[in-house]
Amino acid sequence: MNENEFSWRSPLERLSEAITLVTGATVLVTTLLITFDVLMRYFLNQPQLFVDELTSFFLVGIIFVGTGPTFYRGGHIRVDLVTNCLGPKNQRRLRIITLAVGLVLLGIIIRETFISTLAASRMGRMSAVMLYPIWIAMLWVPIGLTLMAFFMGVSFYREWRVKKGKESEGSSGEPPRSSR
Amino acid sequence: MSDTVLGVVLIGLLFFLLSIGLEVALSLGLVGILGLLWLKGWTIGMGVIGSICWSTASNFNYVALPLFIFMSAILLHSGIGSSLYTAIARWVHFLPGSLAIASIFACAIFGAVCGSSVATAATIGLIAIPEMEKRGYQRELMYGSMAAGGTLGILIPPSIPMIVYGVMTETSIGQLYVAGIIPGVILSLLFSGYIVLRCFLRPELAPRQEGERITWAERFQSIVEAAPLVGLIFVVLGTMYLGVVTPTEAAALGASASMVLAAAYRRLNWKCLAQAFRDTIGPTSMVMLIIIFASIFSHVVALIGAPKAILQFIAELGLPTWAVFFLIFLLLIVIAYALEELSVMIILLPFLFPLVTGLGFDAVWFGIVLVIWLEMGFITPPVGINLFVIQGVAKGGTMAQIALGATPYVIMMILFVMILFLFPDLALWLPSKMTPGP
Repeated sequence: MNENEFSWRSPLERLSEAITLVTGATVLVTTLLITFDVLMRYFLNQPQLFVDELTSFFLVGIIFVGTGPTFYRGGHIRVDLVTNCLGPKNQRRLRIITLAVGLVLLGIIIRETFISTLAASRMGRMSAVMLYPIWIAMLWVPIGLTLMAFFMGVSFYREWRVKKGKESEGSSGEPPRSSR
Repeated sequence: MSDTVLGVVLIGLLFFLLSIGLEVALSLGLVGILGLLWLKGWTIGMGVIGSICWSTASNFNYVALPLFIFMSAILLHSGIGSSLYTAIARWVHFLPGSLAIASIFACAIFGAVCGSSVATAATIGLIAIPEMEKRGYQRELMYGSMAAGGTLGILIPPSIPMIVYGVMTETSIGQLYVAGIIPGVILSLLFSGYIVLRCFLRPELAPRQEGERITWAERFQSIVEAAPLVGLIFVVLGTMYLGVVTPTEAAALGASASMVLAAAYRRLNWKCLAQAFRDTIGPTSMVMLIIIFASIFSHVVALIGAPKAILQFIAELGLPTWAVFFLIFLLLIVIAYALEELSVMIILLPFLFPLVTGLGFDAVWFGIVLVIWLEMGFITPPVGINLFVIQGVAKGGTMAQIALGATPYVIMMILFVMILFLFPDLALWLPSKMTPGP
């Protein structure tokens, strides 16, 4: 990478790390909440009814918000048995195509999950036990996938720049870890 | 287009997308969405996506997944498992190849508190491999025993693949966990028996140190050191077996108890916690995204009635049940050599599960067979994850040495599946004695 090139890695790395730590902390809170529920139920016979629903909602956040940083770190599994047989240039071309396909797909799913969230909000859908408004948790699905699309978009843009010779090979937008 | 043709086109498209390197989750999602569009049109087809994503992601049973991964990560990064290896090594000292046997049993016991094969292999491998290297053990022997031992982490409960299988097929996760215990113990004994026999016939593979003696005081001292981990096993498995908690609650209790243990050993710090967060979020998001998008795909598979058609086709072939099962298993073994196994399991379950249960096999039993198949995949090149873990831990080892060392264990696993086929009660007896959960 030459001196005039903007270093993407650092801000993206920080964003990815921050999201990972926040979602990780949510796992910790989930752990503690369920443990609290078990102890209260077993020793004091006071089950905490809110825990099951709340932790299920947390899970939605953990999965979808965590999926962007997971993509950034190359954590989403890909099959590379065939692509490994190609030369670096063709691999890059194919990756640009798969990233574009992925972005279109994510766009559709983001749109549909957002419409579902809006519908849940308008209809006033509530959770079964604690009557929490479901749309709040549902919103994590399009938000998380938008984050993933963002990381994917950056990857696409950088692969494209490398292909056009505007960025060096070493600064490719692909995740730092090889995926399978 | 008939449903059969549509099914073939969709599966062909799925393999095409996978082969060009699109993420497994996205490949499943894309094929699922295209199938929905074809069958139901835009308005109805797309309307289902939001509800499938939501209902799958908010399933309380899946909460166990990040919690068990978190627990494994805490145990891995706090290094609590190290005392276990030392304790077992002292107790099996008199056997030929004692350190390799200690690796197997340490992995088996560590597997009882950790649902991940990678964490098991990495935790025990970090201590066991340098010890075996110091004693001049043959490389294939030590790498093979470590790689195979690590796989016991997913057969002996808790087990992450069992959670995935259980929720996807609506099979009791508690029963699956309990069903894994006896096969896990038998496989550990098989692996150890092989090591004893091999080292008895060729003592140079595992040289013994002259004059080295372990006193009974040292042996009992090691039990005291390893006792907290045994306590953790009770917290996770005992409470579940006694019906006190559900698997998800057992995961939370286990994760909390691991943190308490790590804190007691003064190894719970921000660095350990942050690393555990990183190790938890990646696999959780990856596996769950595959499961969620596979649910869209499964919905399409169910709509076109593919499992029923396959079952009918096989019935028309007139093959005996055992032949069908072994054909399926053979196909799985071939796939295990080429693709990442957990993803394959998620992709194939919508087809396989109705087929196998339709043939009269027990859902819990088949879950155990699938997990053993996953174990095999973990130690077969080119994508066996445990081979990479061991290569990372054993700085001087080559992939060829590790894969060669693991091969006898793959054969033992295949033999064990045959034993399990002949004696299904090895897996099903213990769940039948279980107390129902809360």
